[in-house]
Amino acid sequence: MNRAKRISLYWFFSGALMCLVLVFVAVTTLAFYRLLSVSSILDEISKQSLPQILIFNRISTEAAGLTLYTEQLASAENPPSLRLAEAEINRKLAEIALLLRQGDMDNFLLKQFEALNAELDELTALVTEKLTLSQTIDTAEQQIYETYKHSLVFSQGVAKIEGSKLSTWGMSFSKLISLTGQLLSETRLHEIRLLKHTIETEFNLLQDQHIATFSANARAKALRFNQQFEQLVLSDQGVIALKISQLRIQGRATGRGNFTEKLVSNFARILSFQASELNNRILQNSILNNEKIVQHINTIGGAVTVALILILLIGVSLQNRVITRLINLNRLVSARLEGETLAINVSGNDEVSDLANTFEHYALTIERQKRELSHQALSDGLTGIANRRAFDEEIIRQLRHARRFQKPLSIILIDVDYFKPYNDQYGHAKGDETLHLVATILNQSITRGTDLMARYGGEEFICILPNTDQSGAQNVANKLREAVALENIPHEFSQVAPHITVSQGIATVESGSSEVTPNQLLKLADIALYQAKGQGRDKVVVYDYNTH
Amino acid sequence: MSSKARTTNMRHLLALCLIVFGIHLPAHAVEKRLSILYAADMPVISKETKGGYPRLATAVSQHRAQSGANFFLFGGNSLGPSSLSLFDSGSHIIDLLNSIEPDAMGVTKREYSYFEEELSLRAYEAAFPLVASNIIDPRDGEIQDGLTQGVIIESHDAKLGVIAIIGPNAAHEYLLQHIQILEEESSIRRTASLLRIQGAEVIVVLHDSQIPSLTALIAQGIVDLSITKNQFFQPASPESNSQRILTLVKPDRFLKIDISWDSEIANSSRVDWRVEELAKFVAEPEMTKQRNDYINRLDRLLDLPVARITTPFDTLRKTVRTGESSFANYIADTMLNYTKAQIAIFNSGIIRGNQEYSAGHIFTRKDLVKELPFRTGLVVVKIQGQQILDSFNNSFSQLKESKGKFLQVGNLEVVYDSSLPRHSRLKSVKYMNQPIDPERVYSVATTDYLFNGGDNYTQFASGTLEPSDNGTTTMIADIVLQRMLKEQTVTVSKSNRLVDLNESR
Repeated sequence: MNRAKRISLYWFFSGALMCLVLVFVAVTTLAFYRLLSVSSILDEISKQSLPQILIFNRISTEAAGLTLYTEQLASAENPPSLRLAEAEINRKLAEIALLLRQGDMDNFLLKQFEALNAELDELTALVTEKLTLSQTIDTAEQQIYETYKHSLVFSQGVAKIEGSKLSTWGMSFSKLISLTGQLLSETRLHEIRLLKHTIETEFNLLQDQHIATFSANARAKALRFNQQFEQLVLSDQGVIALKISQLRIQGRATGRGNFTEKLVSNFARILSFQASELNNRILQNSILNNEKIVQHINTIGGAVTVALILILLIGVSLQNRVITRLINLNRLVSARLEGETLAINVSGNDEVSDLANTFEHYALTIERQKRELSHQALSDGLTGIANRRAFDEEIIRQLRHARRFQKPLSIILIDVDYFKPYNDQYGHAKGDETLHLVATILNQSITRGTDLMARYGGEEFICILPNTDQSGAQNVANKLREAVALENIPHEFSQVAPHITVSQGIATVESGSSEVTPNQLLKLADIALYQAKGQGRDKVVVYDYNTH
Repeated sequence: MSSKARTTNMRHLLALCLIVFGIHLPAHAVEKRLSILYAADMPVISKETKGGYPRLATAVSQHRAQSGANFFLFGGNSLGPSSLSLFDSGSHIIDLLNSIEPDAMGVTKREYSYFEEELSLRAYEAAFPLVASNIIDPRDGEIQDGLTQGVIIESHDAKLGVIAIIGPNAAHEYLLQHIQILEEESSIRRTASLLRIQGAEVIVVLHDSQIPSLTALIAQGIVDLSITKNQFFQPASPESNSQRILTLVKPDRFLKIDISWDSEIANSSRVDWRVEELAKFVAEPEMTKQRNDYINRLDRLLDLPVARITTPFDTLRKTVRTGESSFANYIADTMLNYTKAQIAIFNSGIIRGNQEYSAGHIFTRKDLVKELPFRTGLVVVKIQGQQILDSFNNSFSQLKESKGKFLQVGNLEVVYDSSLPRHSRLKSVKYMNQPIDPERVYSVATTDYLFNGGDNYTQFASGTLEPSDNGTTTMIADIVLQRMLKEQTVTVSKSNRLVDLNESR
């Protein structure tokens, strides 16, 4: 028989246990690392991305504010407004510098910020210069008006003496002052240049024509006024030069202001661009991370499901491979104990099948021993054929069987004739030997497996013939008598023949007869035997129910 | 024969005629003269050829030092675009010019690079009049704030009237919404008449595009001469040129124009001119310092390495304005990547560098600002396929002129034939290997300039504008900068996006 490939339960359970441990470790490790990954994702969002976005947004806000103050700085009309704008700008720059450090910004942005700082410094310097110029112009303007007031006093005081010429000078001087005033209020350089040209022309007239006829004293005074005017207005340090300078610086400041504002707004734009890039990146990451987390959950769920299925498989396998087979084994063993002839055999090739084989082996051994013991108890020690006990057991069984199946049953009680004189003359040893020989002849003479020949006691034998009626029994008895006679065992002391002979009494239970006990049947056979002896021995007598 | 020699000969001839025919001029008739130095088109102060202000300062001061009425007219075309103007909208040019003090400056379309209001601000910063004779502010019908319709400049008793005319396309090209450009001829006539009333003895027209009626206006004595600087105009030929329609062609040159006339005889002016090279003058130290200050400021800001170039490319005018350009592809792809639009289309005019880059060159912020000096915004519009097809007809209509309206693309394969007539050059347009469906709506990343109808493109304006992410306009220069900063290298390539069948023949 082909045996299945051996799978040891030891290895099976070790394997299953190992699998369980591995699955447990794997699921736990997976869950742990997936959780770590989720935690790092959340960590990145909360510790890096969000603060970075906040920093970007704050810098953007500060930079936007910076634009406003840069505009204020560039257009500052007086030192206090300059100082205010400057202070606000410095505060914002410091704030941005701090945020840039916190945000760990790239070199590009830092360089932009450096340039921005330098630009703002230079713009402040330029605006300061512009305001200083304004103050200088204001002072010069005051001096011009002072000069003008004195010129009025002069022109009024001496007008009477000098006549209308002085008043012409005075009017021309007034006109110059008025033109100068007009020039100072002008905001366009081109207009200033045109006015300057007019003032120069007028001034030349004042110099050349109006004072030519003055008295020496008046001329000297008028010339002094002219000189003062030239000094205050027309010279290289005069208000016109200052005004031109102021407007040019004003233009430059506007340009630089524009430049700086653009720089600031560029800076803010790059930041807000980077912030929005970062936002998008984080959003993308979040979506990816979310997908990852869902994936993690699915993976862990999958792993747990696989683990559960595995545990279930191991359980089912345990049920099939061990428990069911042990129950089966137990059932087989119990059945065997109850005498059934089922082989103790379970499928597979492992410790359970080993156990079954062992049980089978033990059962076989016990049954063999039991058979040997039983044989010993039911056979006669001298003759080797069945003994009286065997007969007693067998007759009960055969009577029951005959009744159940409505079959006839006969017994033959056999007695060796004149065996006492044989024993006395030939000795007990010879007697025993002859008994053994007679028993063997009798036993060999019954050919059916169901028939039983037993030693009934002394020199008496008894034969059970199941399913045999009276005539059948007679045939058997005659066959037995002939067999013994044929052996021709010498017996000088017999009174019927010079050899051993047997007398036989037959009792038969016919089919369908009422219940007969073994003893009753024996009694009947004994009566028939007695009659056979009475009739001279070496005879077969059938118990006749009719005669008795 | 030089023009000067010719004039002298003519004068001799005139004198001879006077003697021979006994024609007597009025007793108080005087020959008057004036001299004009004309320079223009100097927007980039870091380039000697495009912004040689220190040398110009020397030339102007030498010109003024000569006896007589000597004027300096600046023809404009300089406030933008440039790297520095991108930041200060042209203030530095005005500042530098303030040191040279032109007697007048003509306004051209480039002065509107940063739009109308900025130009008004510059006019206030200028120490000289900014002349624009055919511009009005439609809100009040007056001349645009800060500008002058015409100006008379006077020196040594000579009165020079200056008119400046802007070409009619400026409003379209520069998307100007707050000014109205008036018809050229009538504007010249009107302004010239005003100037004559105010005593202008000679009238000069400064202009930035060709004006057909100039010959007639000069012949009729309405104006005396016109001057322009434009490297793309053909200089007038001696036959047709009455020496009064002057075009300065080469970039590093200026014009010296001598005009003489008889004070009592109308239309008696005589013009003599010559071209001089700026390079022959030494740079004026104070102006050099002033200019260097600006350059240094810009360098401080822009000398920042952005990325390393791995494949050589160029942004020459002809390259980007007549065919597929690898750098334009790079920009288009950046636009696509940023917006996730299906198609990118932009006008090649936004690329201004006109430079060649070799592999290994470190591309700086300055390079980027040179390449993309305008504050061009990025927009996404949804337009129909038909509009896309139509836009290419406009794109290919002026290939020879290398116009900035030539479109560069991303995610499209456009086939055209430059040998065909102007409006039938487009052969096919494919998107994802499929011909563009005229009925289908596509999302197109483009420039705010095109969306606003710039370069006569009406197609993009007809689409629906997609709202931007944060409600602010994203600059194309910014996304290119960010991409370069992120990738650290610039690798460009061509991929048959624009194929000219005429070239492949």
